[in-house]
Amino acid sequence: MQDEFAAEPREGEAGAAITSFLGAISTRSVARSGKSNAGFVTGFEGLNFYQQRYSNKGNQFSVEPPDQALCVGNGFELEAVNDVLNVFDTNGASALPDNTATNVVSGFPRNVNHAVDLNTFFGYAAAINRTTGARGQEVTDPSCLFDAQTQRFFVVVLTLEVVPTTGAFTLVNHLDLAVSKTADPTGGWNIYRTDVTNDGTNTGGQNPGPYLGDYPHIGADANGFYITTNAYPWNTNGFAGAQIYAFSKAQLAAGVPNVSMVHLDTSGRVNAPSEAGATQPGFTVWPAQSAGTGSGGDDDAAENGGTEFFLSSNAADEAQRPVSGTAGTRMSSQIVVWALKNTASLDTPTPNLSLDATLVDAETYAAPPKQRQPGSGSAPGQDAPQGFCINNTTTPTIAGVGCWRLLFAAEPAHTEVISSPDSNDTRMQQVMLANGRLFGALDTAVNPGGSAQRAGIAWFVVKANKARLENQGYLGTAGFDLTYPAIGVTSNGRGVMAFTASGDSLNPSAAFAPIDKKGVGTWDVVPGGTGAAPEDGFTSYRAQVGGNPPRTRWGDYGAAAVDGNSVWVASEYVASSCTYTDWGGPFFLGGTGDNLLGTCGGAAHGPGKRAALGNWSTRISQFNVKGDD
Amino acid sequence: MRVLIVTIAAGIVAAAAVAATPPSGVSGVVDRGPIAPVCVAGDPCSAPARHVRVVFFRGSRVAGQATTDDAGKYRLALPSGAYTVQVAGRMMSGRGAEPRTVRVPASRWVKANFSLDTGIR
Repeated sequence: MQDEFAAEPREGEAGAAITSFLGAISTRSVARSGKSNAGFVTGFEGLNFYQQRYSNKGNQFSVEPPDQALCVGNGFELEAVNDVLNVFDTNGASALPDNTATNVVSGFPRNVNHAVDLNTFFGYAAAINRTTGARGQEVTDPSCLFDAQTQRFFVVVLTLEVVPTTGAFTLVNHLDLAVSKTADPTGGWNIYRTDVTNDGTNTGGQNPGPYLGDYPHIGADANGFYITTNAYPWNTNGFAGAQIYAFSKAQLAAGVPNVSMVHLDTSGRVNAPSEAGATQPGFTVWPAQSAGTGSGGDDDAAENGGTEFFLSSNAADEAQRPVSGTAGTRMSSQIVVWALKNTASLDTPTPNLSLDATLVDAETYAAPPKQRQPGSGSAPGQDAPQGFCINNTTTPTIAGVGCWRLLFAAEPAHTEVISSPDSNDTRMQQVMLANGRLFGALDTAVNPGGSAQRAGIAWFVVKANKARLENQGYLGTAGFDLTYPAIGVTSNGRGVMAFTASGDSLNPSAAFAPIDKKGVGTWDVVPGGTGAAPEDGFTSYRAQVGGNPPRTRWGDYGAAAVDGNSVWVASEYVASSCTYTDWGGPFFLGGTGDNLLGTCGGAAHGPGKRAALGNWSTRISQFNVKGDD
Repeated sequence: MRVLIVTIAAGIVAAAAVAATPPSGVSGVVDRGPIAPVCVAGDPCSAPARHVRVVFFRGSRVAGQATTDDAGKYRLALPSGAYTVQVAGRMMSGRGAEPRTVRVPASRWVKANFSLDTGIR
């Protein structure tokens, strides 16, 4: 273990409870793992803010949050975030061609570790042409999956069309699905597009389109490849339900020009009351991934002509108040198990699918508080140089006295504070099917050991074909916030749950805990994953994005991928620290360093540790998990 | 004729009472966000929350409420004290309106801006 917590692993404390605005509710002990043993193998820093901002010759935007995609197979790890992609070998070295020499920004070649921007990958114009100002499509929310059965990589994004001259959304948006032509993700890809602007028709009719096909996530069984979205009306209140798009996996893998696709609207399919009546729509209905062939390790997924499973939660207003948007309880003691049956028919001329939604009683979960990090609510120190700069009125710079002049034309208020990064709401996160069991987790409020409320994780193990809860529990620790879980489980039923850990004394870090059907074990920061500084991105600061307080974007999700007995995980963290002096570089009178503000790249012009407006990074780790189920 | 004059005079007195600035209250802006899955530096990541009700509670009792205009602005006279706040009429997710409480000092107007979570990620 390389980080300071190596000798001090933390446990989720028994007696974790949730307290919400409705009062204290039930308490459960954290289950302890019986046999799982996650052995760390290797880890490395993945994509980061600098690489994102300065790929494609700098014709990119500063964006938050990264939105983690990771998939592993055939000796490659493919990672994508907003809005850049890389492919690594098993040693963590990029397997893509070195593009440093031609990636010239402000007069110097910039080493972005060979990364390729998502606009280029999907065949679009640059996000912004820094010479002409022309805007390209806004590509967002990447996910990826390696399917062992077909030996193909799948990468999915949501693409928002914009007016090139202004960047304004046209409201047209589509799912873009890239499928590798072989098992080599450094080779060619076929790209399919599915318009979701009006495909998410709400059968209830409460919320007219057009819609945003938000938060796409993916899964696969032996027959199909599945994308689900949350359909939000662009122009009205409310929620139009989770949408399921089912594709023939074999046709995608074969690269046929037109692939069979079935669209299902989840509106009205959950038999729990909402203001819409006796039913709720699905919300973040996350399709299961599985190691191997997509059969989940037993015959469950092969039943009923092939079955794809999904999990969702129903505490959010989207489920409880889909029409008016007035506040619901934001807590629930149920999850929803979805089964899409007869998926083998996706390969026929007339697919005939059926969708079941089963409510399952579960532990209570509720919307968590925001994360805290060292210094949250207090004035930024020099280890958060962007925030420090906004507040500074004395540093001599090339733009005049006061660092703020480097960022703004008009003087902002100098009252910025270290932020409290966003926790997730209670939506379901990555779902894995292994040995007939579904593993899922979500963010929740917890009071570890009766202490003050923090963000923690509620996890679930469900017998898939019975829609029966087999195990559940909370993971939370006093003084820490655990957010954005992503679970990977091998075909032998052993797994790892990745998440972000932050706290009163811990900068945002990449963390993990072993998981199997018996429970979740002790958690720790992954080796090398300790946060080096506070989150210092532009969404932390009112002068940049407004808000009271600003919504500091984090996540919005992690990722885990299975390859044989290995589980690979990826989470957002802050990899590097950077002093205020280095951040300013030659932009401060008398300073030296990179001619790009805020990169801390030094006089050699990089590679930078960050960029002016952000410092997020991602950590990729490999664990071996052994033992029989 | 005399009756009419008295009525007009009473109306003037009432109008003057309404027009006088109340001694304390709260005003501000309600926005909603994120309005896109990813926030892009330089582009708005939130928008005014138009025509939503901002409701102020003292305990469980509604002490007052106001509706935002096209710019998301609202203004409401309130006696001094601590209030919990809910915003209704707009899809929200996660934690809902933030901040959740506001304190109105005696004989002063206080500015309180609120942010709503759209649920878009």
